[in-house]
Amino acid sequence: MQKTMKHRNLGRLQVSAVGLGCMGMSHTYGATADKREMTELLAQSVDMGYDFFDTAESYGTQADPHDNENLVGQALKPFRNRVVIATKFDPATDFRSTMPQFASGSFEKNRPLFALINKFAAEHQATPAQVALAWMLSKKPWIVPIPGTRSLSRLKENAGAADVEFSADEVRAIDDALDGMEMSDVFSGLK
Amino acid sequence: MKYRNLGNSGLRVSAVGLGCMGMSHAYGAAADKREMTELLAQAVDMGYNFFDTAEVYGTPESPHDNEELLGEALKPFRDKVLIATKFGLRFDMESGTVPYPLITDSRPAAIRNSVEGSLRRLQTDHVDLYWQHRVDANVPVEEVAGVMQDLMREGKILHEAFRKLPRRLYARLVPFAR
Ligand SMILES: NC(=O)c1ccc[n+]([C@@H]2O[C@H](COP(=O)([O-])OP(=O)(O)OC[C@H]3O[C@@H](n4cnc5c(N)ncnc54)[C@H](OP(=O)(O)O)[C@@H]3O)[C@@H](O)[C@H]2O)c1
Repeated sequence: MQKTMKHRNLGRLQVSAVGLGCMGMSHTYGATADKREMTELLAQSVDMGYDFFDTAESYGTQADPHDNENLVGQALKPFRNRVVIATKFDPATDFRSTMPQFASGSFEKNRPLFALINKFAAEHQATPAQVALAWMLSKKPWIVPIPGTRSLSRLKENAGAADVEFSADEVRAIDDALDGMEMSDVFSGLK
Repeated sequence: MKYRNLGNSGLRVSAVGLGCMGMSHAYGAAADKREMTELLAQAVDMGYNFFDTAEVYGTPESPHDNEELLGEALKPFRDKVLIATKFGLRFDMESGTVPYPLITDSRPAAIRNSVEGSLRRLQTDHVDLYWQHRVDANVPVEEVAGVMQDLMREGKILHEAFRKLPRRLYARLVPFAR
């Protein structure tokens, strides 16, 4: 293992020039095997010279809302006197930190879905979000999606989705493709 | 902008509505009020006429932030827009966990209390579409529907709706259908 990690001063703290953000580690594993892998990975990172780790109270899973702190705490215990752990009692308000579609690994897993959406987007000169909304709109004439946004460009983009129209054949093609496709879990509302 | 009839409500709404939750709730710190006020005016300008909020969209510091934002921002357009809001749910923001644990409360007195609060914050005399946010296991659905009907008779809400209602409970609402 190389041990040439550079260091920098973060205020009065001396830390590795590259730190390790640990949030993503908590959203992937359900099985303990994965937890073991992440524990191993953290040990290896110490070996490589990483000594600055970022976690937060709110990085967690449905099963364990403080999963990330628990993981990082356990994994780094043997090295505790050598590493700096940053955690946040962030006004724990960003629900996306626990949504499975944003978990690490989900992006990879959803590539076939993105490919499907992009194909229809290209054919209709539409954006991917417009394809998703237009597909919803195509399901019933009385369905009205309400995508939220903080940005003007998306406000326009989303309004434009109602002008993207799919034929019955296209909708069927999308549905068939979706039925046979592997995807990550997706947040489906609070229980 | 295209328009559609929403469900069987008789409401004529823009084919795409605007969900406003993310401006105040669940996605970290609330967005800048002035910017969002401007964005909401631009939405109206573009033809959006259907805005979704809830009593509980807010932060620990400002628990009703979203209704307050909409009330102020949509005031100049109130007669042109339809506002949907929701009652019967609180978030336990003190727990330190996300998503916040939910607390349901649809007792008639709570609903009454909620509707008055929403009307005040939304700066209006009526809610166009009033949702029960979550079923309350302790209050029969008929009792909730009864209060909603009273609120409709009083003109405080124009339409009622129920979120996440288990299928078996829908049947019990049939006698209330107009
Ligand atoms: N009743 C309930 O329990 C409940 C629960 C959840 C939601 N809702 C309501 O339903 C609405 C919709 O909820 P939602 O969960 O579907 O989403 P949402 O909360 O409205 O959030 C939409 C997300 O997608 C992004 N986005 C918007 N347009 C986009 C585009 N064209 N391309 C890429 N990203 C885009 C937004 O980011 P930017 O801001 O950066 O654009 C935002 O992060 C909410 O606003 C709320 O009113 C109700």
